[in-house]
Formats: sequence, C-alpha cells, structure tokens
Amino acid sequence: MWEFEKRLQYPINIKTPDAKAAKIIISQYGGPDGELGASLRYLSQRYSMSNKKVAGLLTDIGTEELAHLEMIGTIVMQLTKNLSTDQIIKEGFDTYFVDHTVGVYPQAAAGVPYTAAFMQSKGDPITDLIEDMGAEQKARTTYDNILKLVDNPDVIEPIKFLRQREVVHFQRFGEALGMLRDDLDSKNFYYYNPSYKNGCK
Amino acid sequence: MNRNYDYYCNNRDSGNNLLLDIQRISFAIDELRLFLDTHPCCKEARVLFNEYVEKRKELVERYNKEVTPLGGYVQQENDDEWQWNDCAFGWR
Repeated sequence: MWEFEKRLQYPINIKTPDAKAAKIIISQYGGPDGELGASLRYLSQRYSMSNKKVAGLLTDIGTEELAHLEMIGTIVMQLTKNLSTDQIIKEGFDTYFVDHTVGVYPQAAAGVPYTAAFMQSKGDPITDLIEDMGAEQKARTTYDNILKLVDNPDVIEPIKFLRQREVVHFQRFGEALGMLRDDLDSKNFYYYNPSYKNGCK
Repeated sequence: MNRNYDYYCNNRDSGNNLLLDIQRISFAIDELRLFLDTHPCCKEARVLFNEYVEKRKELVERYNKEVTPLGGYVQQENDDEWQWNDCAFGWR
C-alpha cells in the first residue's frame, strides 16, 4: 500500500519551454534505464528477496523511484507547456506530438515504447542485486548524457538531484550485496541462489 | 471557481516556503531511511531519523491546516465540500 502526497521529492519550476530537451528527457520516463523500469524492477524483485532487510531496501528504493517518475513527468510537462506548432516542428518534437500531443507517454528518446523487457526479476537475490547495481550505473550515465545535452539551469538542477540519487542507490545496493554474502554458508558460498534451495545439491 | 478553491490556492502560494521546508526535511528522512536499511546499528542516524520525523510532523500539520491536505489520510477542513482535488498537485 502506498500513500500519495501532493508534493514532488524535489521542486521543479521550469520557466521556458524547450521541446528539444523534453524529447531527450522522456527517456528517463519510459526508456531502457528510466524511472518506470527502475521502480517496477525493485518492487517486483522484493518478493523473492531472501534477506528481509534487503527486501525492505528494495521497497524503499522502488518507492523513491516512483517519486522520480513523477519528477520526470513534471519536467516533460513543464518543458512542453504552451508550445506553438512552429516550435514543435523546429525543435523536432513533431514525431512525438503526432502520437501523444503533449501527453506524457512512457517511451525512450528514440520513440521505443516502454517494455518490461528492459528489466529483469530473476528470482535469485544475488543475480537481481547485481542487475540493480548495473541499473543504477546505467541511469547515472543517462543523466550524465542529459546534462551534456541541456543548458537550462531550471532543468539542470532537478536532473543533477536525480543523478545523485543513482549514485546513492548504487552504494546502498552494494552494501545490500554484502549483507547477502554474509547470509551464505560454507556449502553455498559460490553465490548460488539463496532463495530457491530445492535445486541445490 | 468555488470559494474553497480560491482559499486553498491563495494560501498555497504563501505556503510555498512551508512546502519547501517539508520537501527538505522529507528528503533528509528519505536519505536516512535508506542509510539505516543497510546500517541498522548506527545509533546516530536512528536518533536523527526520529528527530526529523518529529519536526516534519509539525510542518505537515501546519500545511494541512493552512494550505491544503498533503496526504490522502487527512481530515478535511469541513464536511460540506470535498477539497482533496481542489488545489494543485505536486506537478502543477
């Protein structure tokens, strides 16, 4: 169960629309390393997470990713507010506009719609946590790339915040991997699946 | 536009600093929660967590009363009108 609050995790107040930036940033909404995939990944993986504390961490980080999804949606909405048709064409937003007008749709920057194939829930805590660490790094790289492509400080500040969160989440997942390692015993220290013991001889 | 909409939204503007304070302290709590998930034995963080939660409670209570209900489990100002959706959401 979740409780919704009418606030963003970090304030967003973009004064000038910029369709070109919106077209890039939408990737963090529904792209391969975006916030939708991140939240679904962690919130799905927690059911087979053998370590209770790590399952809690997945819940907390997955919840924060939902707040990040809301932030990206807000950035895209504010960047596309009151655009003229001329701007839409000139700034290359026409290919998005024709399908979604200025609605927020989960897709990658190049137009690929969100698919669960972007992520995994493997049912093996060690496999999943290593994917999660990779996912945080990939999202961090995407934010690095966004920061190379946009120049509006109103956009840069919340993107920098989101980038920093990827770094912190990577750190926490690394610590969680250490906690899982501590759970392994001498018969199972080659990082075998600790949540599905039946298959282990 | 009904009276309540004007009332809440006007107050919301003057409540922006209050909202910012809530965002600040909530973030500190979010960060401490993740830290404590993997460092449950850190007493210093546990004390700070409780301190911030206490402080946040006061700020949210003020916001609920003076501006608009922040969450969905908040008692409404009066039972003559439904106010939850009257005022801006986070993304507006």
